Amino acid sequence: MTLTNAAPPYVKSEFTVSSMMHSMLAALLALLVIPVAHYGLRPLVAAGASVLTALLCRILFRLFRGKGGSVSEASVLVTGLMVPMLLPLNTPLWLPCTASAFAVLVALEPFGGFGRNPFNPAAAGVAFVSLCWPKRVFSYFDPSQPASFPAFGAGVFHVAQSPAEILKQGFKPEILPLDMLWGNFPGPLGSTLILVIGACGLLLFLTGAGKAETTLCFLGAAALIAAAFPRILCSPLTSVKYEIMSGSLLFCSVFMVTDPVTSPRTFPGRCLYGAFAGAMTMAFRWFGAYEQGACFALLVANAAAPVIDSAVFRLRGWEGAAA
Amino acid sequence: MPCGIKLEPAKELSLKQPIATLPAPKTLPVPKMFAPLRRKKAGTAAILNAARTAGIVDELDGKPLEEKLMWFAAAETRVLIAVCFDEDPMTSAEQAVLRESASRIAAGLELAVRACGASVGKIAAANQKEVQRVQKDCSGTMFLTAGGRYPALVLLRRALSETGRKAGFLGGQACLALSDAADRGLAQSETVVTVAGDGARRWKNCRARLGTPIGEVLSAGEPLPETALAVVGASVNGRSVTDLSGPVTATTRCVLAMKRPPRRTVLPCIGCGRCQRACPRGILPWMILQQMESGSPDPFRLFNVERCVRCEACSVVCPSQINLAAAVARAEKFKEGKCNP
Amino acid sequence: MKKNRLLLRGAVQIFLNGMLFRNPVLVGALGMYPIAAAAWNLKNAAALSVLFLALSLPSSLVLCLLGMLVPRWFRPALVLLVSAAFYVPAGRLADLLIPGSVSALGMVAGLMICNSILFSRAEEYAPEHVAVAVAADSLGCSAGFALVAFLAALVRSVWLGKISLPFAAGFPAGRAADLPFAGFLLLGFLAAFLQWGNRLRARHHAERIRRRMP
Repeated sequence: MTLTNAAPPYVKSEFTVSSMMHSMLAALLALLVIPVAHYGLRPLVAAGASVLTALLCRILFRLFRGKGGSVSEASVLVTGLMVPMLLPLNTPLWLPCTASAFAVLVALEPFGGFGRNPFNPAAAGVAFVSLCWPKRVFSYFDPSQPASFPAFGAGVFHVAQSPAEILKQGFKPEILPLDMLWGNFPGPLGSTLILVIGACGLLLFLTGAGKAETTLCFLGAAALIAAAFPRILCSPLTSVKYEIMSGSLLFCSVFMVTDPVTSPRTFPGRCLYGAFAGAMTMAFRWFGAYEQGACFALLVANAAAPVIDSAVFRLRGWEGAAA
Repeated sequence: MPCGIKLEPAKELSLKQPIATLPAPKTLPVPKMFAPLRRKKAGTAAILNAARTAGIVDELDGKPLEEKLMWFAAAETRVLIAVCFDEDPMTSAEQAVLRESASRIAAGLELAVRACGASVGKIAAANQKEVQRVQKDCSGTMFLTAGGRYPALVLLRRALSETGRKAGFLGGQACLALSDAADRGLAQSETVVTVAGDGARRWKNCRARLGTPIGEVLSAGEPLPETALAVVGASVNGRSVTDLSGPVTATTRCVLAMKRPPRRTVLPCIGCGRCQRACPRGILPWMILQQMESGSPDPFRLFNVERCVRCEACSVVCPSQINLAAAVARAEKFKEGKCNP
Repeated sequence: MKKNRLLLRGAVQIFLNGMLFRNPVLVGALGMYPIAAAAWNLKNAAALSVLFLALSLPSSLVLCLLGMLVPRWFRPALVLLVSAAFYVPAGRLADLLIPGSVSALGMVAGLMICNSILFSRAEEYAPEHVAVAVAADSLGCSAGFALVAFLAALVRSVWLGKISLPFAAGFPAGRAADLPFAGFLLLGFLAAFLQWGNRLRARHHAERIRRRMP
């Protein structure tokens, strides 16, 4: 019986970063099920290519810095999987790969890797790609017309305007809000399946991978602004329904705003941050150049997160909630 | 928001059997005996004298019982609480002692109450089931339950201090020893230790003589040959030992045998805030870590570090498996000015 | 003689610091806006550099002469006045050397009057140092600014359509490389690169000193 020395604690909790990342991966993979059922292997190939690129970029960066190529966290996989959810299915394969590469090489690794990044890498990747190739990122295929997507190579489809684009032009989308729940309208790959996103959100909140207050304040602020300043001529409730269900707003609110690394550390801070991000998204939708502004708004809110934390501490007198 | 953490208790196995008495090693002297007290007429001084002669040491903090009682008397403590539960998930020694000799603990508590001029004494048990189990043995005593969260004792102290009642805490085994000293004139010579851990074949509570080598207590649990770690104290915040010849003291509550030392891949802090909720003393371990890692910590921002009780709840709950308790300890030293960051 | 040689060596050190080791744009994070917003092709970069040199050298020398004579609170205003006074000749010079460049720069050319490098150097450094040092510093900062401007313009104009990916239909990043966000990202990476170089240099220096000690 040879004894060694080890530092306490000798008990481990089951909630670790890996378990958090696994719940997020499960939630994101659940979003892929319906597209795969409808359109074959293409969604899987796009997601797989993006994840692989993210992984390769991380390994290369680590080797370049001389830190060894071990991949001990699944956070890169989550980033790689989130990127194709915000892009249309009909994009060429290099588009999500470029976005993932940018996300890892510019927004994640130079700051010190996972846990030290001030900006959400997936949002940064998608924002970069939206600025460079806006036509490709915002042209969606029409799911009501026949369309086919081979696993590699270009697909055959009809182009249609997404509800977000129609709203931006000032018209009311043809599809009814209730029909939007089933996800059968033009939009980004993972952002149209409203019900599935809601279920994934519940899963994330219950497993503790994300905090509910950020999402609720985000949606609340966006809903308030949509009701108070509707972009189209309709009742406030209809405006709220259209705004929340179109574009990547719901996906952002459930998956990206709740990222604990980039959000503030205090409870009132998180509520403020969620509300700020929601307000900025609506501002981008009103005054921005593109039809969807959730990723840009999220980056702005990430920049404001430390300031929000400092403000909360200053107001509370630096002693924490109930010392 | 100090609420502690939920830990799965693993006490059933060691509580199944009654407390086993380990044979005393030959090298230890025979415990001395002295004249018992006459119960009804025993005054404060006589009880304190008995505590001193019996050499009773309180297992909660290692202080002599007489000293503690005098301190309680000087501080005009109103309530005395006998702690008969273990906050550590694998230890069950105090609970076993309560099950075995509840009436004697109640008697000792009553003596202690008389000795320090408090108005009431209560026994704190682990949960309502334990209370119901022993209530018939000591009908006159009032009971308290500890919470289900770790660290239960610290949280109980906090809850009582928030209600404003001045409460003093004594160990259950100290009360038992006091009652034995007063009634039978015995000096404190034994303590109950839990032997557990995944490297021990049998988990049990053992009554061992003070001064027994730890190795003998450990072998009562039949440790497996592939045991790599021996932990003394508690499963969460004990300390590991390689020299098994050290003696058992009154404060030793638990000896664990573990097959594998804990392996941790440490990741950066993700800012989830669980450590803040876990800390029972109101420290923000994530902020302490941030300050210490920055290289030039601001002492003003290291709040409450001097209040840390080393319960290690923050390190247990951290998803990135950072050793937050060590960071808080470093911050404490830095704040006192003892060392550079 | 000896004093002149020391002065010369000091001046060369100041120049090198301004140009490379303590580059005002990459290490001082000053004057980033003109580069991020306007230095996306080589013509613009050249015009910016000429403007900067023609504004910064005379302004710094004038401030070196007059700086101590005016009260402290007036110095910022004096810098701006002097700089604005020299703007017209500087603009004419830039137009002479690179025809059409000043109007192509638009608003950014006028904003060079209050360029933060120029401003901070003229306001703090110039009044309190000798003319040789001030001239060397101004030349060094101009050289540093020009270096970064040309480097940024080179990368951004090459990126703009000369590279194509193998399995895609071309890689026209289009206007994206001209946008300020690309400029800022590029400046960030260049700054990281330069600071890495500085760290290596400092480590070599420390090694050399340690080797010389007994």
